[in-house]
Amino acid sequence: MRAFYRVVHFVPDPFSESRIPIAALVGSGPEVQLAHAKHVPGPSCIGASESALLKSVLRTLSAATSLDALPPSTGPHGVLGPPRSVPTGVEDPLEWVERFVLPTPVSIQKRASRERAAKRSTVGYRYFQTWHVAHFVKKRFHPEVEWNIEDPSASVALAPISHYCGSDQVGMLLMEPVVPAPDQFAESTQKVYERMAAYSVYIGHHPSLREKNQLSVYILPGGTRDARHQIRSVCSPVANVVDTEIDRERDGLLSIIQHYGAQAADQGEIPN
Amino acid sequence: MFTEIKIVVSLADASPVPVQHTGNAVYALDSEGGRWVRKREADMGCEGFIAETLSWLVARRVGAPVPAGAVFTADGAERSWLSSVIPAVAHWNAALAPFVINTDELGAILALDTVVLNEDRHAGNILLEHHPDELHLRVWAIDHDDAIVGRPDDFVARRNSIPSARNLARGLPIDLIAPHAVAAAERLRDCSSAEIHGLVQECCLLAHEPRSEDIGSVLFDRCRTAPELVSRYLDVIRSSP
Repeated sequence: MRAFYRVVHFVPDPFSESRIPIAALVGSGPEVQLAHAKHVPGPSCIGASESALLKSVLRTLSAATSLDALPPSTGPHGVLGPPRSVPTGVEDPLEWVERFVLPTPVSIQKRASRERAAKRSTVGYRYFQTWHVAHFVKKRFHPEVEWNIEDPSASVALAPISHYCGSDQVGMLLMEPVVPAPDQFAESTQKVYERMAAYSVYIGHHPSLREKNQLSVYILPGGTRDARHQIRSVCSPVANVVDTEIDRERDGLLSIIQHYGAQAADQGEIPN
Repeated sequence: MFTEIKIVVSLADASPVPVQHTGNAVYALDSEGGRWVRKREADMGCEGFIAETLSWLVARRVGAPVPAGAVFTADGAERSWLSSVIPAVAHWNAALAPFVINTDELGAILALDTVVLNEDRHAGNILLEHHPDELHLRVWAIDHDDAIVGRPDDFVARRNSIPSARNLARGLPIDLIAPHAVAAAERLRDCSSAEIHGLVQECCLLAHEPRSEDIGSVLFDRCRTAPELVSRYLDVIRSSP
């Protein structure tokens, strides 16, 4: 005899229509069994009172006698999903539903994702990896180290730059990425502008550095055209701006990186 | 009968796939907990069924990343094409192109589309899977039921033509993937006539399509000239607005 099941959803808020699968009614003939989700969200996820309500709903489900309706005591915060059949040949429909339909701790863990967005510099380096130039690119330029300067004001005024390539002998390209995502670009544009402006002023006062160092802001793909335009407008007075969505500009940046990298290699610098 | 495509004999439907232009595709579970997207032959027609099965077999030879495939036959009557569910995916987004980790396989997708004449590679038919995070995305190719390889008359008539790029997803990193598309085409060029005809025969037998010889002949010719066809397709893509 074919078995059927209906997932029971907990509805914490009927207006937002969010639904959380917490159990299932499994029926084969006249008999109805209750399958339990191995994982349900706790108070830290849905709130203390909602968590208590969820447990209350779960308790009422043991009184279910039919797949057609939940016990009246369940109330409006428990709803039934549509009836689904269990594949033929499954010997234990209850176990099958608990294992393959309802959330389990393993399935939840596999779907867990990091909450924090990747750092701007990490995203930028990832871009270089995709375009096969990452081995020429170094992370975190420290002016007091790479420029071999003893001026203490340099380390105060100049924050580390995310990426750079080349060497003191052949010249260097210092690069900052900007991710044009709506929730990020304004703050990161300001940060990048201030950082590059400081370098621009410092380099302007040191002719020997001016000849051998270039500053570049590269705009990663995505975002709106307006955002990309704003980033360029803000940063272009203090650095060369590269829009990686423009093939010509992207290729230009990649060529320069390869050029500096190759030159540095000729000087004995070992690529990454 | 099938040597590569799994046969599923016990299946139960779940909810419809909530994406536009998927026809009547539904999620389905088999008795071992396998999760599939099911497309009934009754919904997509014999042509769609052949296109899906043949494209899947060609994809595996060309190195295009397609989910595991299977055929479900309900007591030998109704047939369905099953495509394994890839969890936690989004659709193609040009902004995420730099984070694709399998650009070689992305190139192979273009080669696949060239040879089977698939003109439906829009953004919804390219999946992006976190592998393992948002900076490392694995591309998957899905939905081949509109490929012309499933329509014998049209496939024969377009023996030497290349797909239109009108529906192609925007923002594919062509410069990055072009060499891989050509390399994939060379793999197809090296397939033997017996191998290609064998694939076609199996698909056509299952679908009761009598024109196996015609489809096989054209497909083999296209495989033999795949590098040239792919190069032409790449040129069209590059020149598209």
